[in-house]
Amino acid sequence: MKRFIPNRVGLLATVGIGLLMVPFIGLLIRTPWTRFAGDLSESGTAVRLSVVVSVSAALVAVALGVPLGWALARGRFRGKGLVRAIVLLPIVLPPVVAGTALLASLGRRGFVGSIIDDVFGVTFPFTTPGAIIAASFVALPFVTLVAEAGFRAVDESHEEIAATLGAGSWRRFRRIALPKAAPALAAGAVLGWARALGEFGATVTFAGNLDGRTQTLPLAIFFELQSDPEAAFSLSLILVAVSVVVLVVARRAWVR
Amino acid sequence: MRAVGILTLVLAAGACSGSRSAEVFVGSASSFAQVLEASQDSYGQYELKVLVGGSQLLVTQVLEGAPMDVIVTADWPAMEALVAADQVAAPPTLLGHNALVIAVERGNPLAIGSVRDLARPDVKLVLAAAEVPLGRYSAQVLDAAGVETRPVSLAGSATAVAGLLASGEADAGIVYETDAQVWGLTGISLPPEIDVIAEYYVAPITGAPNPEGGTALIEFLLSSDGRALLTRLGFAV
Repeated sequence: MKRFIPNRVGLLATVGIGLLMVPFIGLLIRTPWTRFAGDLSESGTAVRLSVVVSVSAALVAVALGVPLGWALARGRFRGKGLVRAIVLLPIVLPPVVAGTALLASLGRRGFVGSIIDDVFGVTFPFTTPGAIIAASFVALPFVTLVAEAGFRAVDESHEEIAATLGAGSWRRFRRIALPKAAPALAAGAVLGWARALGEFGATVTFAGNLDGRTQTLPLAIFFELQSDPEAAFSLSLILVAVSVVVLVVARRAWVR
Repeated sequence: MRAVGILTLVLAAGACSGSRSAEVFVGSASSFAQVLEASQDSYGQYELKVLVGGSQLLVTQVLEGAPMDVIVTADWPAMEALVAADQVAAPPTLLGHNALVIAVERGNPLAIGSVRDLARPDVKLVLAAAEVPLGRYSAQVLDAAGVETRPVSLAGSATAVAGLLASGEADAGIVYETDAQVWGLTGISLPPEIDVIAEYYVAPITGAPNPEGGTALIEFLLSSDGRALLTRLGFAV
């Protein structure tokens, strides 16, 4: 049966998609195409740093988010609702609040940061590891939630059979659950990576802004907007393009 | 059609808010915002809406069509960009001056005494980014002193520098004297041979939603009451 969209629903839906599309059209119109390659190469440092930070953060988020997702999908423990709420928090939290909270805890005067400083003589603010921590913090929920959904979708009967054949829980996790959830985990990793790549507020708050050390592409865009807006437009467009590719790739992995 | 009605209302409210004459939108260099916030009582009939940001970001916003009535920048180059783009309704006026100081945590635990100490490897130095006025002033000071520094971060506004010092994440920075006071930092004056004086400029914006309110604000800031307020808050007029 062909489904018709009621007029008023269709109208608002059109306004909705328009609201989402108009900014990108603006960016396309304002991007100085003749300078595109030049702007990109001039921002090489920020691009390279963004790759390092976002990939590292995605790895951290996968290493921690997959186990967390598994625990939420399969684990039976008290306070699971609370754990899930904590996992969701960075998604709804303004990134600047995340950055402030990171400063309050892992900063030089933070209750964890001060101990690390005393013991190891290491501080995180204003360092690349600090930028990676900020990006990991915001990326982790995405990896966790997608991993949880992925593990839930895996038919447990295979693992039950493997258990009757004497496979231990670690072996069942590694040889059955993990491979079966792999497409979802890959999608989660890509989403987490994209979130890390776009991270701005927590990074600028916690890690600061220094060329080559903590100035990732989004920070470079913010500061370019104040000195060379056209460069900011073309760099923004690059991030839009990367995000579109990510969505297409992630969706393909997700649907498969 | 109720949903559409609500949407129309929202859009209409958005369109109207710009023309309500009771409000004056003023974009302010972050270091000057305290003056505007303190102006509200004396300024009377209009409600001041202060948009705080790095001067340069405010300039970009005006150039992109943000509906502001008045802008206060912390240096001339930021204001000049608006003049050059024909975005000011009247020539900018010099409002007042601010001194620059080396700011350190209260009590100066690292015993920082001069600009030269800012280059010490054990000092975590924060400067304002070169894109904002304070960053330009700081670069002038460091150039004049012939000191090469390795800052740990370049902050996006003057108050962001002060905030990082106040929170203890950084050890030293160059800030406006007034911000050092507001944030409770210890300020170390610069010797006259490398000192730079910050200049604040005010101008009404072309196509302002509330030009009368904007003019009234500028008149207040330049009046004897306005000048007294600036002086009280540590600015020189």
